[in-house]
Amino acid sequence: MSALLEIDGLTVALRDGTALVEDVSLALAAGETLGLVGESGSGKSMTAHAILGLFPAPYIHISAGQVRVDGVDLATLSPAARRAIRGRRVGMIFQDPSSYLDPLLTAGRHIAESMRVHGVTDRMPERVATLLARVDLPASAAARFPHELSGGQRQRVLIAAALAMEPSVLIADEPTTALDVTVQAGILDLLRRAAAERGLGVLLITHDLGVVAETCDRVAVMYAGRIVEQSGARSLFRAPRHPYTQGLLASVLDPGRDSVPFAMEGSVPPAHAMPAGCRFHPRCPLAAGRCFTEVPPFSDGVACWHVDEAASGAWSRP
Amino acid sequence: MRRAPLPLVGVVLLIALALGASLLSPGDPLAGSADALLPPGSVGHLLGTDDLGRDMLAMLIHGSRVSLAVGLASSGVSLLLGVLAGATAGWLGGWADAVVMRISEFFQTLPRFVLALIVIAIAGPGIGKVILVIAVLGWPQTARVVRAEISALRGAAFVDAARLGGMPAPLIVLREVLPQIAGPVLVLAALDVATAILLEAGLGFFGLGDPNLASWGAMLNEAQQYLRSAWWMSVFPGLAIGITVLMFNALGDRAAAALDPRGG
Amino acid sequence: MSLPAYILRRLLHAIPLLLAVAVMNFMLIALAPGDPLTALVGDFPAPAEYVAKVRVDYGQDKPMPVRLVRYLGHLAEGDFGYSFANRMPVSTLVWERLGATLRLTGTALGSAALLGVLLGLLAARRAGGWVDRVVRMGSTAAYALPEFWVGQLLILLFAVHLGWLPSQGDAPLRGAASGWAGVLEGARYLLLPAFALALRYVALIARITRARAVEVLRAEFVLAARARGASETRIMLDHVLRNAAPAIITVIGYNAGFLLAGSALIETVFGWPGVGRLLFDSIASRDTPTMLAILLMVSATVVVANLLTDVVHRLLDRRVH
Repeated sequence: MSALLEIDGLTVALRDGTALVEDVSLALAAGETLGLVGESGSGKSMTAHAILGLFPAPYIHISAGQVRVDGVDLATLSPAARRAIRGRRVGMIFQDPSSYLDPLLTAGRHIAESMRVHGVTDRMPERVATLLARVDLPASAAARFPHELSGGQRQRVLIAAALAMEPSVLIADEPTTALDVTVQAGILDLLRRAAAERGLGVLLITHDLGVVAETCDRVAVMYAGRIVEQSGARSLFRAPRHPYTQGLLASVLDPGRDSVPFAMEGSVPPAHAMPAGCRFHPRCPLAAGRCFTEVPPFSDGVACWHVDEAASGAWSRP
Repeated sequence: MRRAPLPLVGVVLLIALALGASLLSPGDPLAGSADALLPPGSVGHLLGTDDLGRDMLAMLIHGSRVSLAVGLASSGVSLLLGVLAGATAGWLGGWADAVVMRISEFFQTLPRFVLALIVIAIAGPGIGKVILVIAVLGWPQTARVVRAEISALRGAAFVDAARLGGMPAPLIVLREVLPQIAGPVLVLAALDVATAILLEAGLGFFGLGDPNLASWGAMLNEAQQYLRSAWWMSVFPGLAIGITVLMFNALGDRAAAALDPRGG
Repeated sequence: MSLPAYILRRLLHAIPLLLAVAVMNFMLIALAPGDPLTALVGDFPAPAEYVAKVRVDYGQDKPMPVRLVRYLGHLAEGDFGYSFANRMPVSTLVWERLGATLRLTGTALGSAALLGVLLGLLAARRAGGWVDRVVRMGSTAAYALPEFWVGQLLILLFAVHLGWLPSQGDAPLRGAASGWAGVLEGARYLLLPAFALALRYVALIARITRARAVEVLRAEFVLAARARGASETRIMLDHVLRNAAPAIITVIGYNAGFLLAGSALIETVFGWPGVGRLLFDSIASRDTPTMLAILLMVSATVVVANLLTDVVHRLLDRRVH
């Protein structure tokens, strides 16, 4: 498997140096779907934005590390060359499809824009209709304005626009979070099909472990700006190794027949108030010794000082 | 916003200038002399004289009185009218609201300057009439803002509390509601002063100023005939108007920014 | 609501406004100090038989409601009275001057829109940068200057001091050059007054364009367009300008009265033979019928401009209902 997308030691910081994402490394191969999981504030969306070099605010920037697409370090490219990669090599879709569509442009114009900016201008209505068909929308949807479409249809339009130039990588940032449960399945199915049929590598960012279980081949778990565990989806769900991953899974999978569903106490610390040592230690039942002072290195798929103790389950369940 | 607000300092200085005009002025602004069209820097006439030999500096200083009087008074009157109309519409709602809003819509359609021009042309010049006309044409915007704010506050808990306490409606509006919306209304008032000063200058330029008062607009009217020979007759009064209007606009903008919850 | 239904509703809305303007005109006549006949005829020696005819025509011996109906009837027929100061019907007089005013205001408005939008977009591109600061300070200053004084300054600089451009009037009709030379000659006369008139509008349009553009640039759909590979220029034109357009159009349209008022002042400064200059002259010669006709025309223009603004706004933004 050759990597389409490699992220190496990526650090994203505010202007004052506060790190939002720290030392993140990921790789994505063709046809593979990699889940990037974590609570809100874990830095997973920031990682996604960093791949395209697009941040929601001007005071956020990449302060260290590399993002390579097809082996090319994006930082070495001119702005124009970087723009040429966006949409053509790497497509992106977003959380709330209604705010990511221009309210004054039709669905067709959005899809056409993806092609126009990369120099494709001929047979536009035909191309748009084909793309709409690929996301299971009728050709007539091209003339619709965003407010005339449902949430699921809007996300389909964004997917069609993202896939218009046949990119090899698709970054999907919480693509189903803002949608109804009934609509979610259709969108996930669409992403699965694209990966299987066209060898598209998908980086799926989500906080929803159910979505991960349904869609992903591999999973990386982020906490407070760092990756704490990474492995195949199946093994992660069967035998999570990091106490945080175990807590996350328990809060979902614990059937809680009669008992209260399990919930980890506390929340992700804010970027400017990160604890020393392992960032998870204030919430970790196994925290002791080095956890308070030294950042555990990421090795063999996990970043924990007490990975052996955790193997038998970090959380004592009621 | 920790710095001393420059526009506020400017406005205070202008008002001081207008109040102390008789003391600060080098002489009677309307007294002509044989020294007509003296350029700036002439002995005894720092900024020169006009075609009738009147001292430019004296006229400029006294002219501030007309501009500020018209600006402040007309904006004050229109503020009063606007608050009254807006509060009535917003508090009562229903048909009273509909009537007030239709009338304000009509007034907003009227071309302020052209109408003021023609009313003064028909009714004859006079500073009181100018103030009145500008005020009557200026209230709708204030009324709209007040109405929107008041109808939003009408159901607020503190209003209900006052009502249950037996406070009569006009008193509730006056004591409980109006202080809450003073900010945006005063911003509008500051901008209104600027607009009124420009309108008054335009009237003066059209020769409809009070002939017994020195005013900046009237000075520019005089200057028009002497553009080829006496540039100073145009440059100084125009600068005075521009700076004054700028101060009031900046004051309004600053206040609006300070009030903006997004911290503009 | 469909677009035709919307236009119809706005038209129905405009009619009472126009009627109210006409009634207000009538009240100005009725409230004028002295004999209302003076207001109807103008303060100019008119033949006794004409005065007598006006007295009967407008029902000056009849009660107020009758006089109002007569007055409105005359307006409906397009009869705005006779200007003795100019010895011709007011409607002919205004009509003759309309072309020059439209040329001036049209040029000013067109160039102000182009320049204002351009400056606003440039400023928004790097909000807080030096271009932005220059545009903001410049527009704040320009917005505070009376346009007629700007006109005088332009005359002082370009006509008196440098001698490059004419300071008064329009290009002469007699002996006018033809073809491009004629257009160029006309432009020489138009340049200064159009610029003076446009300046405050440029400031206004630049400000609203900048404010809206900064807002739109922060929108998530702009981020999505960047993610598709769109360049900043393309984003400015396709997304930012489109989304800012309704606000810009509203500011332009709702300030039509402001443009016409400015035109009256600028035409006076530059001796431009338009309706504004006519208004100045009619005030000087106490020619009331002409004044009132111009007021009516300006008010009607404002009503129509507001109507058009709302319709265009709706065409640009389909979400408005």
